[in-house]
Amino acid sequence: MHGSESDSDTADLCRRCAGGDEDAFSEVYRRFGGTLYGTAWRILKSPQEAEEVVQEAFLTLYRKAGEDPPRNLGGWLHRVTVNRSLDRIRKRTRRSEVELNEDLHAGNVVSIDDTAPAATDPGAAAAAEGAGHGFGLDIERAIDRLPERTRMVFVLHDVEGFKHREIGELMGITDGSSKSQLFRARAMLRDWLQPGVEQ
Amino acid sequence: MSDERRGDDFLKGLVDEWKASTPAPPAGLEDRILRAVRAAREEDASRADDHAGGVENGRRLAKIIPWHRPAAWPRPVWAAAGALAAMLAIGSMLTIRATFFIPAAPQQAQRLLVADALRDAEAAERQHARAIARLEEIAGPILAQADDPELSGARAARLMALGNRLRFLDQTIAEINGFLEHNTGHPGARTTLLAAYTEKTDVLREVIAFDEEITS
Repeated sequence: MHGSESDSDTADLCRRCAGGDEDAFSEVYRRFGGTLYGTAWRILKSPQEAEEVVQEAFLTLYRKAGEDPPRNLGGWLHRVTVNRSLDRIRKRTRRSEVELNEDLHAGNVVSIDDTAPAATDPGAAAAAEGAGHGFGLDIERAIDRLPERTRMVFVLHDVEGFKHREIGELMGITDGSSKSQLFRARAMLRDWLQPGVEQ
Repeated sequence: MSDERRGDDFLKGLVDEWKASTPAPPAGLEDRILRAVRAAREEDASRADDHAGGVENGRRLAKIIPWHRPAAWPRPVWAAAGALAAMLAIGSMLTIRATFFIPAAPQQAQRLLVADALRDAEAAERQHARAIARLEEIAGPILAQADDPELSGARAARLMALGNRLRFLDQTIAEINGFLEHNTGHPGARTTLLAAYTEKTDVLREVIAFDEEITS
């Protein structure tokens, strides 16, 4: 990713960013801001959180660029953005586990289905109804419908271009698990989006 | 071409379309980033000033303290002053008691009493130092995480602040120890040293609690 940067150019930008040079940050934002926001948005599905994550990535650049300037600035920022986004997903999961426990104690939960859609908005519910029946389900809604971990592996591999080894490191899972989750994601998506093709 | 392969190509096409249709960042994001960086820079500058001021205070502890303005005394001086007042009060009571109610103790016994008190103080300091060494073993790797690019800015800043407090305390402890080498029985310095050890223990515990908080 972002292979067009030259080493001296990157080193100079990093040095300026570490010194808090706002023009340098504007330059980095012009080059990578859109891509980073897109990555965070696709992982988090929340414009507000995506914005916060991009801000955090730039703050990390300010704090770290002087100590150990990355050779591939775009790739480094991309990874930081993905890391921060995954952090938030983990927090969400922990939060929903706590809420689920509270609901269980309160007797509000009837059943839990691992294959339920990751998103719970009405659009996703409508999409879920159409899924499996060959209706026009778009890719975004279909990805939302994947179980959370399967969705993350698919987005990181097929959308963001990470390798299984890197996904393993980022998500704390094995390469094999990443591969099997990807296989599962593709099969489910093919099933939902391309009903004419039999598996 | 197999169905699976055709399906993957089909998915790839949809993914490319999805990527292309991802919304652009909101208009004010660049400004907000620049403001955040500016705020971080100002925070760093003020922390650096605080630290420099703190170190400066530590260096001047025994020299330039505004004695006429007790409100401006640093905490260790308050602790030392409090200890001194308490010792004077206890000393007066003991003197009165010794003068009026107890026959004068032989000089040899008094010397033993001072030596005992000193030995107790040194034992307490050694105990503190051992506890601190154990806490440092745990807190060290946690503080090193402040440099981890994966740690959020706020967490890194908190760890750096705790690290700075520890460095300041280390310096204070080293200075008091240096003073005690030539003034072994100085009660105020001994009390201040114990106060600094206690505070360092508290900060180390704070570091460990902070780690437990972010990993829980």
